[in-house]
Amino acid sequence: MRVRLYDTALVRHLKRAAKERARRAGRKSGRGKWWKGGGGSPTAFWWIWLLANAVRVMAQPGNAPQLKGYVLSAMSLALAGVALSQARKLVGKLTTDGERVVLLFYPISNKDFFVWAALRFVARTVWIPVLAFATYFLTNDAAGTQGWVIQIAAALGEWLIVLCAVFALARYVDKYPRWLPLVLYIAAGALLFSPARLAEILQPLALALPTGWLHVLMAGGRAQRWEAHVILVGLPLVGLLFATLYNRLQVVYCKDETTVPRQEGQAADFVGRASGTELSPEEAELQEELESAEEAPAFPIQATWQKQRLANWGAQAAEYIWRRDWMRLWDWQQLPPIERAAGWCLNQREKGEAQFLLGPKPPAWSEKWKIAVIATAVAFAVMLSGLEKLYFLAVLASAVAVALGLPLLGGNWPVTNQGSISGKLSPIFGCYPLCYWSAGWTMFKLNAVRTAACAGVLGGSTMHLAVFDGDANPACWKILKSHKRYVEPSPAVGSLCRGFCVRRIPDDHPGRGCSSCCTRAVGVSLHCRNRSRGLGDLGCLWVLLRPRPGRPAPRAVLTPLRLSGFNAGPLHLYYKKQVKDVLDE
Amino acid sequence: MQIRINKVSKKFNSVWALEEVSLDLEPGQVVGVLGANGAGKTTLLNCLAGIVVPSRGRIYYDGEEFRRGKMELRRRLMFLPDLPMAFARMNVLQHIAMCVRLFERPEPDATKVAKILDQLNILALAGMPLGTMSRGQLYKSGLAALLVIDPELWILDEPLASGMDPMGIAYFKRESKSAAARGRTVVYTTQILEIAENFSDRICVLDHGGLRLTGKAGELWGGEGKGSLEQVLLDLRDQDSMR
Repeated sequence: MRVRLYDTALVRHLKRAAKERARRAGRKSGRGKWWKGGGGSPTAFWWIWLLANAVRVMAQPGNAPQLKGYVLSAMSLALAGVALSQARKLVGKLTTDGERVVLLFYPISNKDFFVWAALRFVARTVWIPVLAFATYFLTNDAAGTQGWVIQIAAALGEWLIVLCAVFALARYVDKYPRWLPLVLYIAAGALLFSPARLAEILQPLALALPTGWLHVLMAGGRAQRWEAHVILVGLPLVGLLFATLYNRLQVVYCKDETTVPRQEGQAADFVGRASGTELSPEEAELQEELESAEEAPAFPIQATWQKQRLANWGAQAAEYIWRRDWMRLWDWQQLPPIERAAGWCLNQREKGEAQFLLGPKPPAWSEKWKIAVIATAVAFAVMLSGLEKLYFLAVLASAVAVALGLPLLGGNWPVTNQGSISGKLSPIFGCYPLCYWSAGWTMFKLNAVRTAACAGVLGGSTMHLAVFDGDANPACWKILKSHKRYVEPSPAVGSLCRGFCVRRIPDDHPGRGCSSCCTRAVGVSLHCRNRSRGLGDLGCLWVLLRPRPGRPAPRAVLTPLRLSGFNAGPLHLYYKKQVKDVLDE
Repeated sequence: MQIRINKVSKKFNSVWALEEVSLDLEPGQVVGVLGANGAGKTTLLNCLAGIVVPSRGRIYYDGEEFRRGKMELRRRLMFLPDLPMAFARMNVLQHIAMCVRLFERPEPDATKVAKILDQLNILALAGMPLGTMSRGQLYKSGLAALLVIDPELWILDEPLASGMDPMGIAYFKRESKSAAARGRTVVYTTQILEIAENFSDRICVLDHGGLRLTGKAGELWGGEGKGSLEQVLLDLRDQDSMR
C-alpha cells in the first residue's frame, strides 16, 4: 500500500501563506540568509570532499593510478562510516523521531509508517550514488558508452551496498559505539591527505569493507574487461539482498507492534486461548510469528522503556523520608580524587550550587581522567616504538585524551539544559534563584581543578607536537598559549552564550537554543586567534554579544566593557585585556 | 508581599505581549489571571518571576524594584510553570531538597514533607525519577516543592489544567486559601471560569496584552446572582467587535 502523508501542493500553499503573513507582519523571512543554513548537512560536507579530490586528481600528472587507489580506498572507509551513522539515523526515524511520535496519534499502522519512513530515508540518500558516480568519473579511465554504463552501474551498486549495510545494521546500532563512524571519517581523511604514511595500513582495511571489492574492480581503469561483467552481474544480486534486508527489518518492526501489549500483560493470552477455545489457523500462525519475534532484539526505545520500569516504593518511601538521606549534599570527600579535590575548593554554599549545576548525579571526571591517561600512555608507546606510520594513532589518542580530560568549551552543565515554559524554551535554572556571578565563579573553580588535574595529559600532547614540529620549545609554548586562552573564558562561556551578557535577553528566548552553536563558534574563534589575533577577538565579541538572531546589533556591542560588568569577574578581566589588545593592534 | 506592577510592557520580536499593565496586589490574596490564548497571562507571570525582563515598566515587591539579579527577592517567590522545570533523573525528594537549598530554607520537617506527598498521593512515588512520571504527577512534585518552600509569592501557570487529579486540585485550592490566610499571595492563571469565580479573591482579565478588568470576584458582574464571569468576558468580546 502506498502511503502519502504529506500533500505536496498543500505544503507549498501553506509555505506561501506563511511567507505572505510574515511579510505583512513586517518580519524578515529567514530564508536566503547564509548564516541560517542549519549548520551544514553531511551532504554538503561530501560535496566539498568530492571537489577537493577532483582538484587533487586533476592536478596529478598523468592521473596517477596510485592516487586513484587512495581516493577509492578513502571512499570505502568513509562510506562504511556513512553506513554506520545512517543506520542509527534510520532507527531514530523509526522509533523516536518527532514524526514517529506525532504519527502515533493517528490511525496509521506500523507497516504503513515503516514503508513511508524507509522509502523517505532511501530517497534522502540519493547523494551517495551521485557522489560515487562523480568519483568514478574522475578516477576511471573507461571511455565510450560502455564506460558510462559501468560507472553508473558501479555507482548504483555502491548505493545499494551502503543501503544493505544500513538495513542490516539497524537492529544492532546499540552494539557499536557512536564514535566509530567518526573514526572512519578521520581515517578516510588521513588516508587522502597523507597517503604515503598510511596507505599500507589503511588500504587493506578499506578493501575488506563492504564496498571494497567494487573499488578493486574499478581501480586502475580495468573496468572495461571482465570486471565490468562482474559489476553488472553483481548489481541485481545486491539489489536482491537489499530487498531481503528491507523486508526482514519491516517484519521485525511490525511485529513489535503486537509484542508490546504482551509484555505489559494486557493481551498476554489470546481471547481464544483464555476462553478455552482452539486457535484458528490464522491465530496460530500469528502466535508463531510472535514467539519468533520475541527472540529478535528489541529496538533501543523499547529497551529504554524496559530499563525505566521502576519498583514501587510503597511503605518504604515514608521510612526513606524519615532517614533524611535525600537532604544530604554529596559527600565530596567520598568521591574519586578529582571530584574530592574540587570539593576542597568549594565552600558549603558553593557545594550546594555545584550540585545544582551538575544535576542529579556526581560527575565522573576521575573516570574520564583515567581514560585520558591511558590514551596518553598509548600515544607515548606509539611514539617510543618509532614507527612513523603509526604516528596518526598517537595524534588520535592525544586528541581523545584532551577531549576527555579537559572541560572543553566550558564543560558540560546539565542545569543549562532546556525545558519548556508554555512552549518557549528556557534553561532549567531559569525558574530558580541562581546568582549568575557566583555560579560562574563555582564553574570557574571546578574547571580550574579539572584543568590542573590534566596537566600531565597536556604534557603528552606537547610531546607530540614536539615530535611533529621537530623542536619541543615552540610546541610547548604553542600548547601552553592555547590552553591559557582556553582557560581564561571557560568558566562563563557556556553560561554567557545563553544570554547572561545581555540583560534584555530573557531566559525563555528561543535564541538560547543556538547556544551550543555559539559555544562552538567561540571555540573556533579562540583557536583562530593563533593566526589572526584581532579577528579572533572580534569573532568572540560578536558571537557573545549578538543578542538576537535576525535583529540589528545593539548599542551594547560598542560597549563590551559595560556588558562584561554583569558577568563573572574572570570574564570581565578577560575582556578588558582582550579589547585592549584589539585596540592596540 | 505587596506587589506593584507599574506600566509593564513586554515585546517579543514585533509583537507586544504585554502593554502597559499596571496593577497593585495586596498580600493575602488569591489572584486569578484570565484571558484568551495569547492574551499575555504567562508573560505576566514570567515577568513577575524574573524569567522575562520587561521591555518597559517596573515591578516592585514591598516597594523595592525587582530585577532577576536580586536573589533576596527571588528567594521570596516561586514560579511553577505548566510543566515544572526539573532534572529528569532526580526523584521527588531530591527535587525538594534541591529547592530547599536554592531558596535557602531551613531543613524541612520530614513529617511535613511526608504529609504533603501523602496528600498529593505521590508518597509511594517519592523515589521515582521525575522523567518517568505522568504530567499530573510531575506537576504534583513541583507543587510539593512549592508547598515545602512556602514562599511569600506563589506564581502558578495553569495549575487547574496541569493534569492533576481532582484530589490534587482540591488540596491545591485548600492550601492556597490557607497560604493566603497566612499573608501569602497566590497568583495563578486559568481558563476555567467556574473555579476562578469561586476560588479567587481577585480576578484580572487580560486581553491583547492589556489589563481590561480587575476587581474582586463578585464585583466584576455586580454581585452574586446578577451575572457571571462568562457573561463579563462575552461582553468584553462584544465591545471589541463593536470597535
